[in-house]
Amino acid sequence: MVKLFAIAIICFSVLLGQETEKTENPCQSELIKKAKREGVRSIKITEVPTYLIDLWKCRKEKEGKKTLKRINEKTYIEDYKSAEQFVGFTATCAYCSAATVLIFYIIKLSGN
Amino acid sequence: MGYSSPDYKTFAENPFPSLGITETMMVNFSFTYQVYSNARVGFSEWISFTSDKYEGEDFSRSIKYRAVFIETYFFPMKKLELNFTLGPLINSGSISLTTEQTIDVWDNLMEEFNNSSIDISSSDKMTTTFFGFTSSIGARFYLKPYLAIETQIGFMENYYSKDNWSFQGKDIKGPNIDVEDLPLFTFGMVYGW
Repeated sequence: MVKLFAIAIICFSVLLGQETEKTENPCQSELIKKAKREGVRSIKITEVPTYLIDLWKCRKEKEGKKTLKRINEKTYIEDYKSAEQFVGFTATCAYCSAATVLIFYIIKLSGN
Repeated sequence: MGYSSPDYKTFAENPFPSLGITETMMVNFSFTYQVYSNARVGFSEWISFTSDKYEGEDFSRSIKYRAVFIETYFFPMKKLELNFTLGPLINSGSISLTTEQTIDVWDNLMEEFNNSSIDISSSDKMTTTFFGFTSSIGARFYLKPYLAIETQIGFMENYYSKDNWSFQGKDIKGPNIDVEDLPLFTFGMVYGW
């Protein structure tokens, strides 16, 4: 037990003693750039953990908050552009749904 | 969180437990996946649950309304989405009762070892499945690209029959509840990618 404890302490000391390599600006990572260009939805689900780590690091940077704001704004614009109007079958579904809800409440309110 | 107005009155009459806020308030959760530029498919469940005492024993009643739905949407303006949902319902209901009782055979065995009689807990439930249809229209406002608040108005049309209950593999009759056409109002938070 004492041996294990000693080994753990040595390992921690070695790890803490490592000189952390100064990485490049996290706000300039490939994923952040992609999000800035195409919005958050362009990030694939498998890339999300890496993106979140980059985002977390980016927040601490000088231009971090501004970058996050730009990404959010770009996402809103992309969402709006991609679903501004119904396409194909989706209009039919929406009409069916709206009609059934309307008919239901008309019948309900008329007391039948 | 959802609000509806089912009529459990005949179900709630004595000797059944009294009903409170759980009669009309339901907890709801949903999962959706975007399959088209403005369409999602998903699964949703509303849970109506109440527990009380029936003749001094633990009693609970739960009805789960489950929907597999398609949701289409569009953005009339930035951050604001209007959505339309349609889908079939596969619902389930259950009534369970836990009783404490003495069983002669166990009592006799206990006495063989000089024990006094011991109450034995027994729990079982009667269940039912019924189908339905749901539709709703709603508005979603994005606070962040991954976080939104949403409100919906819609209804559930259910085809419930009191004759379709089963208990220990046998067909039995259940309570006469009225859940045929339920108005539905929901309010919730949406989190997603």
